[in-house]
Amino acid sequence: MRKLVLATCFGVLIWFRMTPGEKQVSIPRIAARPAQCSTPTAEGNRAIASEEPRVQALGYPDLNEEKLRQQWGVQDYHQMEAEESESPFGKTVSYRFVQEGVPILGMVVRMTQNTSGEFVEEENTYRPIPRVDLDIQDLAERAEIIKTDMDRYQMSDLNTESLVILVRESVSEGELAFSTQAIDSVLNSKPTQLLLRVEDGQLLQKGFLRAEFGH
Amino acid sequence: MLCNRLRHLESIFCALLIVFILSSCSIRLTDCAGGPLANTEKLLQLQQDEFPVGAKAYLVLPNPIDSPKLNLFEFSSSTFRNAQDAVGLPGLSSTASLENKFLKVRQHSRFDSADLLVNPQELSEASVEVKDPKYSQVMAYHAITAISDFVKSLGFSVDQSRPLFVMVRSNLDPEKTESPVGKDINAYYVHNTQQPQLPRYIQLFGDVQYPLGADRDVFWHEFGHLFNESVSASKGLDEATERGAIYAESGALHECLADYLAESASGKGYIGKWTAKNIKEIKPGQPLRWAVSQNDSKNNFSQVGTWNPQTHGNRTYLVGEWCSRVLWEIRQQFQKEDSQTGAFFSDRTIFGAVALLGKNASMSEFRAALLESDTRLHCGLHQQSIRKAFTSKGFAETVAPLTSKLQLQAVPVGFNFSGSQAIPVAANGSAKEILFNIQIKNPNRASARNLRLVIETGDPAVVPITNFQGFGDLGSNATISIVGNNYSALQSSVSLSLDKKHANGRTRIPIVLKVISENGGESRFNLELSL
Repeated sequence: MRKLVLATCFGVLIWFRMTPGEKQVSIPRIAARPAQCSTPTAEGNRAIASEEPRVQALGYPDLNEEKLRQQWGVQDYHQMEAEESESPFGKTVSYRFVQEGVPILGMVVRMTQNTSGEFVEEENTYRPIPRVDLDIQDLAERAEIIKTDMDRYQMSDLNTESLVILVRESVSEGELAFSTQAIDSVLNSKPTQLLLRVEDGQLLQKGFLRAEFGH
Repeated sequence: MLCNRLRHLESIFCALLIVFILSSCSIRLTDCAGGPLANTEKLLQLQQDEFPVGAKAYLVLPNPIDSPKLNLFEFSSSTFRNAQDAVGLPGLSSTASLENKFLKVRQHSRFDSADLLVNPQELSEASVEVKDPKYSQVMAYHAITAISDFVKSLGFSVDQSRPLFVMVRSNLDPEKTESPVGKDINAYYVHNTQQPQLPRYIQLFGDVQYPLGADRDVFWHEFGHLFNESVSASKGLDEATERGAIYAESGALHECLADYLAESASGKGYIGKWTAKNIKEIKPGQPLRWAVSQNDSKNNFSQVGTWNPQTHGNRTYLVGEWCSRVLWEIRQQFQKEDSQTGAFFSDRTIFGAVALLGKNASMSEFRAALLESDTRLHCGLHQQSIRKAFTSKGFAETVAPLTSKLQLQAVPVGFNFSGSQAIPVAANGSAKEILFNIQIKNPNRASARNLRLVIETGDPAVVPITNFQGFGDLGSNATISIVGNNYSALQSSVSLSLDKKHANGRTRIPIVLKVISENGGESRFNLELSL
């Protein structure tokens, strides 16, 4: 009898430890509670995203811009622009930076919300780089020279509207660049995107489109 | 005496087991619901092709070949008209085109003239002919608003920090009205990461017999790319492909998730049967890709994910299709638990995992993220099912470590350009672009998992152009060989440009190429380039 009781207990235990698929149980459809079943942590995220830069996790109960600027040492000539995204695990707020309306590429602060509602830094690549001189007198002339020199590409207009500042990890200051659409005649009219340094037309980055299928 | 004590211990053990079971039961029923869906009603309406809100338009849903009302390819205008369903187009905010604050539908470019665009007052007239670009515009607006609502109801936001322009017969450059119309039959999503001042684009190319714009799957798939970037907060989930990688697991994952969104929202288990009619390589009646397992090689990771120079250019889609089959199997498991809403919970778990991924995510990282997502949303109730979906399709939990280093050889080749010509030159500072002939050998008895070649540099004089290339798994004693001086053929290699401004008087610049795999064997190749 004892053996029967013990065997039943073990049987029930083993049955219960199986996943729902093997048992065909139902998940309750709707419940009025937060989505998190266990506490998400910045560490947990980084364990998966091994290529993400490691930063110290700081808890922010709210996202007061003044306090954040102070905390990160954001320079007066850098404005912050927030983008928000939401998933069942909470909000992610990404701060990007601009200087006098010109977008800065290569610097971002990304904050994710934990179950306590606090925001923690997931990524912070902000650097207090010096102000970049945006007052380029011969911008149109430089644009023409670059277009002629790179006749491989049919570019969109290069003008003040297409300016960006690129921050490279290995360079201590921001570099002013034209950001443009381009059709690449060397690669069968493939649409691409280019970042070209205003000063001398040096190619700094190249981007490609995401196609639905290859054939 | 001893027997009595044993009996007593057994009773305690059994009682503890019962307590454990009951407490586990309590966790499962009260804590593992995964949270509420924002709007279950809306999710169900979408699955049943009911779109009651907004100005009425008329479309054959989801496309002429999958419509239950029209299953012939040779149809007349009257049969096509009779097969149309009324759908609502909510939120229209213009009297001149189909657009709202976020979504702007166009034909060729951002700056199309009014005569090319659908006037919202004439919606019923816009949808008579399937080849009419105005029909595609109506489908674009319907499809994107519907799928946006779908993902919001699952509990996700969509990044609307920039407008989304959809061009249904796009110019190559959608910023220019005079740019040529794209001829290559394809659909593209452009996140414009490098151009924050520009909107996002969905561009459909090809004025063809079976227009891509008449297929809702196409828009749902392309929107899926925007959604992937939204959920991952534009972290660079697949930066590699955006920067020119011919293959990266992250690229396959991006395609997989975009397919899965379209397939799951429509409940079809495949994508692009209508669009596939334009592609001669696809057999008649077959879709672009199947999420439902077929009797083919795409059920096994080693068949699609192992290095093969013949299939390398298409590997992104092969591995993407394999991955969507893994996700479909997970979805089926959730559906077994609840036939009505199980798929929605599955979608939320799967896209929740995307929120946990970092830059250039791999399949292994995605599997780990799925397990984590399930743990957070459902207390890990589906761990075994998730693991099984991967292993049953040939993606092993663990792989044998490599005991010897991978062997890497590299020779730089310089190029200058004149018009459409790429001219090989010496690989030094006078070259506009430097690519590499490479040979990578795996001398081990075990396969190298997820082999990648990267340019490792912190030198300001080195500007990586394509700094990451993936090659898939490399079998025992197999070799990857990308050689020659043909610029197009070397696109599978990494490339860079030298920046004299930051050379600081140096005449030779050190370069390091690194080959890595998930199971070890990492090796470096050092060389120097003259300025």
